[in-house]
Parts: sequence; C-alpha cells; structure tokens
Amino acid sequence: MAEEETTPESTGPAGPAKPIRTRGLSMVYRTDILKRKRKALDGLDLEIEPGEIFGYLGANGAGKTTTLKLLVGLLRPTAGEAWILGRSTGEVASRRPVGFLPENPFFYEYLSAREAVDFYASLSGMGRADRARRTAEVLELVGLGGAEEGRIGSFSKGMRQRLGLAQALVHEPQVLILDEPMSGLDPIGRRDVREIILAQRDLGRTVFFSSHILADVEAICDRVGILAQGRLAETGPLENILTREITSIDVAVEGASVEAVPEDLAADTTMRVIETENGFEITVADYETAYRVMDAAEAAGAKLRALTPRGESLEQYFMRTQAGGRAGEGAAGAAEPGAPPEGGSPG
Amino acid sequence: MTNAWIIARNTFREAVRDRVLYAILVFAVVAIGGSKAIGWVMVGEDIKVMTDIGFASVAFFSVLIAIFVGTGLVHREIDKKTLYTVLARPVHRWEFLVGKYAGLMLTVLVNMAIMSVLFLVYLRIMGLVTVAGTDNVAPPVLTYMNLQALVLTAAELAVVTAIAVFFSSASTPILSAILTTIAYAAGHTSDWIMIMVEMLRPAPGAELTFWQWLGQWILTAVYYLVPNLEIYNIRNLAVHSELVSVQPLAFWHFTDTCATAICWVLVAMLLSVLVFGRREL
Repeated sequence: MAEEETTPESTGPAGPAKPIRTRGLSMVYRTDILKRKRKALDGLDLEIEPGEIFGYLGANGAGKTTTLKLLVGLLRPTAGEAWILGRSTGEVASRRPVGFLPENPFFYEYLSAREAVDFYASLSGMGRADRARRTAEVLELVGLGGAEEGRIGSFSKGMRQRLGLAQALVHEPQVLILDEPMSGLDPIGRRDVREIILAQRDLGRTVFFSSHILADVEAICDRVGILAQGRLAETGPLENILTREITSIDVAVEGASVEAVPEDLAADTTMRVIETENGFEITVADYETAYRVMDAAEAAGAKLRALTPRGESLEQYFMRTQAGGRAGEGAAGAAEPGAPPEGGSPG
Repeated sequence: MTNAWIIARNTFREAVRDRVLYAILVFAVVAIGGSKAIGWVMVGEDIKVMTDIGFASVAFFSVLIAIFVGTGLVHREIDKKTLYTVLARPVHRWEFLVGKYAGLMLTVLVNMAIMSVLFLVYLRIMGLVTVAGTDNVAPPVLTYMNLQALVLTAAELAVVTAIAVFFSSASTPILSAILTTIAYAAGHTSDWIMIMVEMLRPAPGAELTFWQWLGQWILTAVYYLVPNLEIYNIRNLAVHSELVSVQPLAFWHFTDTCATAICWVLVAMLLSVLVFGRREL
C-alpha cells in the first residue's frame, strides 16, 4: 500500500490511470511567524472517473481551494500525494493535460483578451496556427467573440470569469479543474457555463469543479464530494446521497376540501397545505401522518390522487453535513493548540 | 527556456504599455535636454557638463525603472494572483522568475537605448552648434570610452534588477524598493566601507575592543554581501576622455567587469528561485 502511494500511477490491472486521484492528501498552513499551524486539508482520498463531472462542495474554509491548488501544483502537500492522469502533481508535466480556472481570476490588465488567451496557449506548447484558431474559437464559445481586442483592464467581473474559462479551455485539456466557475456570472452566464461544462463532458473530458451554487451542482454533476473542515464527509452520485432519507411526503387528494384534514394536523403551522381546484395537497413529515390524512380524506368521501415521498435536496443535505462536520469530534479544521480560529483563510 | 522567453515577452509587452514608464522617459528627456542650461552657466565647459548630466540621467532613470517596476514584479503577481493561471500550466517556477527578469531587463535596456541615442544625438548636435563658425572640430560622441561607459551602465542595471527581483520574490513592493535602494546606495559606497573598516583598527599598541571587532565584522560582511557597483561606473572617466591620462578600460578588464556582473546576477537569481520555490501561493 505504501509503495502504491509513492510510485506514479500508470495503466495497471485496474485499468488506465484516473484523471484525478489523491491518497491521504493533506495540507497544513503555517499562519504566522510563530509558525502556528492550521490544517486546511486532512487525508483526502479521492478518485475521479474519466468523463465525469464532479462537484466539489464545502463551506468557506473547508479546504476546496486548497485541494484545487494542490492538484495544479500551486501548493505542495504536507502529506499524501495526488496524481493527474497517472503523473504525480509534483511533476510539472502533470499540468500539461489540465485546464485550470482559479477563483475570481486576475489577468494582465494591459493585454487584450486575444493576447491573453494566446499567451496561455503558447505556455501550453501550442503552435502559432493552432493558437490563432483555438483562441478565436474559445473566445467565441465563452461569449467574448466581440471583445477580443478589448483591454482586460476594462472588463467586468463576468467578462473576466468568461476569459478565465477561455484560457482553461484553449489547449483542449483532458482534465478541467475549475474553482467556482459560476462565480460573478448573471443567470445567463451561469447557464452558458453549465452548457460549456456539459459539452466538455460530451467530448470525453473530465470536469472537477468547486461551487457554492448548489442548484448548478445539482443540475450538472454526475457525482459530488462534500468537504467539511478539511475532510471528505461524503462522496458519490447525487441520487445515492440524496435518496437515503425521506424528509417529507406530499399527499394529493381529490373530492374533499381542506376541512377533511384532522384538526390537530390542520393546526400544525409547520405543514404546507394548498387548496386545489377539486381537492387539496398537504406535505407531511412521515408515512404515519400521511396515512392519517388519507384515512380522514376517505372518510369524507374523497380519493387519493398521489402520494409522493420527497428526499433531501442537495442544499438540505449540504447544510446537515456542514453542521455535522462542525460538531464532529476531532474535526480536521479544528485549530491545533495555539492556532488562531479559522476564517478568511484559503478555502 | 521557451516558457521563460514567452513570459519575458509578455512582461515586456505589459511594461511598455504602462504609463509610468513613459513618465520616467519624459523626465529623462527633460533632464538631458536641460543639461544645456547648466552648461551655459559653466562657460567653455558646456559639452563636458552635458555629457556628465547625460550619462547620469541615463543611469539614474534606468535604475529608477529597474527599482520601480522590478520591486513589484513578483509580489504583484502573487498579490493579484495573475501567476495562478501561469504556474498551473507546465511551467517551472524558475522559468517564471527567469522570464520575469528577462522581460524587465528587456524593458530597462530598450529604455536605456532610447535615452542613450537621444543623449548622444543631442550631444552631437550641441557639439556641432558650439564649433559652428570656428575652425574647431566637434568632439566625437560615438567613442569607445562612451560605449564602454554605456555597456557597463547596462551591466550595473542587470545587477540592480536582479537584486530587485530577489527582494520582490521575498517581500512586499515597498520593502523591496527600500532594500533595493539601500543595496544600490551601499553598492556605490563600497570603497568607503573598507575605509571605515580601516578606521576601526586600533591605534598602534592598543588592543582591539569588542565593539571595534564587531564593527569591522559587520562592515566587512556588508562589503562582501553587497556588489560593488562602482566598478561599473566609468562615466566620470568618459566625461574627461579628452585627457591623455584617461584611457578606455583594457579589453580583459572590461570583460572581467562584465563577467562579475553576470556572476552577481546568477547569485541573485539563484537566491530568488530558492525563496520563490518555497513560497505557498
């Protein structure tokens, strides 16, 4: 096992190398000159499959940005290791198949959008003709087609975000690592970015992105990982994570009015009751209550139209995970003795 | 090295679009042009005064660009996070630093070349105006001595720029600017440091006190740690090049001095790479 963690991956019995793989990846920041420490990431084990969109979630300071920086070599792990397509992230060559979008990206202000993307393309080893073609293509793709010659210094936050995406895509990378790609975008921009990410998956590329916008994650991700205080609290397909518990049941009834609802339930203000054209709908917490409603409705001569159990939304699940992580004993993000409280540090 | 060259070109392109650079260039042109005014005051010495001020302006404003732009070079990239998108590509950190240094040197040298051409053309015109109507011949401006003075000024700039990049990779722009200026000033007073060491020697027969020993030790350390920038300054000699006693540097002395500059640049860049390589970004 130890050998596996220190040797670069290649194709092996398990098949081709994973686009992204980490083993025990940890990062401890030294926060000041007294060398006090803050653990930002603690023993992250992760495997991202080829061609999937993986959403990486977590509250501020949970360790998302730290993970992404470790994957692209901007930080060196204090323990553990990570591989991109089988190459250790300690090797510069591991970054060749990667397109990276940092959070709130900044660019050289005096360059035009075309010059900037061309510059990044040349750093990825692209030839002049390819650069010219791809630069025009990606700027068009991200919606900066008309602003190619505009100075970046005059760009809005949304335009910079789009430019960031363009530079990440220009060299047609196999692995996209995006830190908050929807940040700073209006609803149309968010939809555009979602479509670009889905199109990349259709091209067989792997997308690993962090986001605070849970609706976007829910809409496009094949799998999600939820990070709480530097530790991976949960990972898996959305449907597996979200259907584990039934949080509410919708009961739709036809042929009776709301008066058919038992009095004690009608007085419960936490329940949602809606009158419909020829009946009512009620949301209850559990099956027992649902059966009581159904019995009362049948007694009033009504009939059941639908009984729909509802699972957790990603947001509900996320909130619960974060709360659990914070309360959890020995949480990774807990400051070591003498360390300052967490907050405002790299996420 | 391809990546370093790409980064150098980009750094140059960014720098030449910065208005600060043009402001400095305008000041330099005004200083060179204004040298004639001081020349008028010193009758008969006007060409010499213009040469003196011209050389000083080229050196001073070039150093100003090196410190102004160089001290913020790396720190600004970290602060504004512009280097994230660069270093997330297959680019070594040393390639990034070498590229930034080369781009800044290119900027400094192009500016210095513009200032030098303007200065030499102006000097030539003023020389011709001075001898107009007389049998005298205008003094030549493209002399071997003048060229040596300019090349050694460029060598000095290479050292100062490398020092600026080193401090920039380790600290904030303001602190870098202060430290680079101190290093520049100390580099030009290097000879005085050894004179002060001599002054700290005890009188014959007296014993060396602890404080004398400590002073000597610190001053000697500073002498060896800070490059002696005066060895690149033959500008005063070039001003008086018409004197028989003033001769251009011998070829080996000249190349030896240039090699010293290269060594200092290598040391400063190596230290920069070591510091920058360990930084958490």
